[in-house]
Amino acid sequence: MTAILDQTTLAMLREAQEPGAPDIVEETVAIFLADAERRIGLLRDAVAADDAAEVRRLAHAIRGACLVLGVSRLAEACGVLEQLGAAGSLAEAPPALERLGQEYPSARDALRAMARRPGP
Amino acid sequence: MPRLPVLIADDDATARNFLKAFLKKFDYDCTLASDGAQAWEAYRSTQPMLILADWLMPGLSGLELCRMIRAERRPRYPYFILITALSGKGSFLEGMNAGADDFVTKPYDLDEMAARLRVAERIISLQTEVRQLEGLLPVCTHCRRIRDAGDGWSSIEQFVTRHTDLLLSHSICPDCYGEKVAPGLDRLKSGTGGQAS
Repeated sequence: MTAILDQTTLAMLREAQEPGAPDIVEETVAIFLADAERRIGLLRDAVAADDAAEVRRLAHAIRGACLVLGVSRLAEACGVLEQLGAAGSLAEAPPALERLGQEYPSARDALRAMARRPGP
Repeated sequence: MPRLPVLIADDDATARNFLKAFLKKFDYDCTLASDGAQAWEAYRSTQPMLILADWLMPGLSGLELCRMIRAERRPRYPYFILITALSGKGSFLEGMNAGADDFVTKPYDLDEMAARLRVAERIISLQTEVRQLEGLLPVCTHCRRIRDAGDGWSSIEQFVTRHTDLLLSHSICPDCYGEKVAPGLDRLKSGTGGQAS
């Protein structure tokens, strides 16, 4: 089973922390979560509107951000929606969206836990 | 040593933030752009030598940005790395054919990214060396030595040998022959001998 979060990515990000500067992991996680929640909301609208192109665009965007931070399982869930959007057929989109909705809280909690961990 | 000007273009804030943090250790002079149009403006105003651009951006894509930069044909060739979450040989070929020098996929493999950035730095410094040969060479008005790297002054022979594959063969031009060599030879022939001046 794919891990929720690839910890090595955030660990590497932590290495870039400059002394005295705002916490870089916390900052990046906050950006990610804000964008993800906004985009998931838009994704729900796009599925409801049967807009395949928009579903593809949004799912790709969320997946890209997930890949950057190593949020692997959520990336997979987005990948399914991206492919459905690319294929132009959203019949299977509602269950895929539900899976995304289920994965998101675990990803969010795992990211917040990592962000709270003290640096070296 | 001036910091390398770098342009990062990605419409995703997480990716921009992450790359900016990662590139800190390279001590680059980074400019960030959040879409293709902004990236194009930033390219024209900051003249980056290295560009990292995401493929899929709203409006002007990273791919189109690459094509526009290559079409401009500036004297200094910027190194272009295309980044994408798209996979597959087709994407790779399209990116490289558009003029990208390298192609990186998300998720970033940071060790690999570091190695690719070192390659980029090598290519960029190679280009700088070539430009120094093609451009203006500071020459001493008196002794005619050339200012070389690191503020040293080299004779023309040393400079050419160091920076090119050229070999120099020494001969005498007609003017110097007439002025310097011929009078000495004439004196020898006429028997007055002595030291040539």
